[in-house]
Amino acid sequence: MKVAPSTFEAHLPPPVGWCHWSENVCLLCSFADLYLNRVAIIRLQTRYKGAQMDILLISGFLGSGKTTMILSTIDEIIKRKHKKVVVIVNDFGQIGIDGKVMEKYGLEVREMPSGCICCTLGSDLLATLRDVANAFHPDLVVIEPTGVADPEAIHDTLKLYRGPIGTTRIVIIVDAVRYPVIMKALARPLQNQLKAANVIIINKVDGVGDEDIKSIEQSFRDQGLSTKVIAASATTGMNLDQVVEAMVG
Amino acid sequence: MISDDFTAYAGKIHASFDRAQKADDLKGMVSTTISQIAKGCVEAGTRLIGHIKCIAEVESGKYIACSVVSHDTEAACRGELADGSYRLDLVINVLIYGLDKEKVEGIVNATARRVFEGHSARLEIEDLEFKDPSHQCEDEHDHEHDR
Repeated sequence: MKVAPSTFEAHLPPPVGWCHWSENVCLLCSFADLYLNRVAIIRLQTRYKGAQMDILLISGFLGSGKTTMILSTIDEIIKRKHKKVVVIVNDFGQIGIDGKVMEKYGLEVREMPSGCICCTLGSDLLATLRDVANAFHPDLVVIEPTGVADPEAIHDTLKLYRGPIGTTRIVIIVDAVRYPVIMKALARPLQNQLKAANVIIINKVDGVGDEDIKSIEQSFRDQGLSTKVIAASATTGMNLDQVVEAMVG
Repeated sequence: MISDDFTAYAGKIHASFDRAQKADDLKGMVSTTISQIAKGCVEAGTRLIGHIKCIAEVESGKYIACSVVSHDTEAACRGELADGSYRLDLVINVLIYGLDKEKVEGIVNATARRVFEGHSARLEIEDLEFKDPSHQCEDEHDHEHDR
């Protein structure tokens, strides 16, 4: 299922570092067997065609509401900004559930062969971006990696893309209800996700009280983060105007 | 955020019924299934539920997508199924910390059988796990997400 890198990309330097494992089989990379689908979801809007494509990376832990947030905001992004948008979703399993949900919501879905954009960081994502750019000339590419991906690593890979990229924004979605539990179980990787953010969206705030939100915001400050934070709910629509503005404003 | 104890299981369940089912009954089976899987994982000692999600489709093309992130909350579902359905296909992903794949697979299979066969359904359960023994680390890349 892997896609061979193009000659051009094969000569790029490694994205961040070298695999530290065996020459033959990378133990960690064997996790790539778990991540099978790359799905590009295409929504065409032809009123405007820009020269550069902006990148919007929507990341966040498993179950934080990334797909719901995209589904709740993409119409507004298209309507308000007249963008031609492509969404690249990386999902688990041979049948990507998030991709299927987006398809059911009326988005055109195309499955892209190959692996996980968090694991096979280099050539696959770059090749997908290049294919998407050539085929659709989008104004905006939204990337939804799996909930275990490190957005900073993906961002580093994006820097190697040689095509015309405009701005790159990293939006991290946090589950307001589960933040304390996840922070307790996986503090460092969650902090790494947060650290990469241009904007943090505290999602599902309809499920918690004001004090809980304040406590999460305080936790961000305790980590030394001064990132813009928006408390929102993708399901109730609360503050989605601000979210859209933060994504593509 | 992949750690040694992270497991991603994917399975597909084909349920068929002799009698036409109501949409609400089918929705109840689906949401109960993933809620009970979450509960089963907690009882089996999971360290953390990442995400348990599914998409269920009946023969008319109607569907619901449900997910849970905790054993003590109800599944959140969107979409709708159709009355009068005889068949339901359910794709389930379980992303979890602290249980191995065989354990998760056992929980999914046992839960699906308990819930659906309680409604006289015939089940076929398909493991969607991709097994590619030839997968090797051919690309240079970093695993910062694991540290």
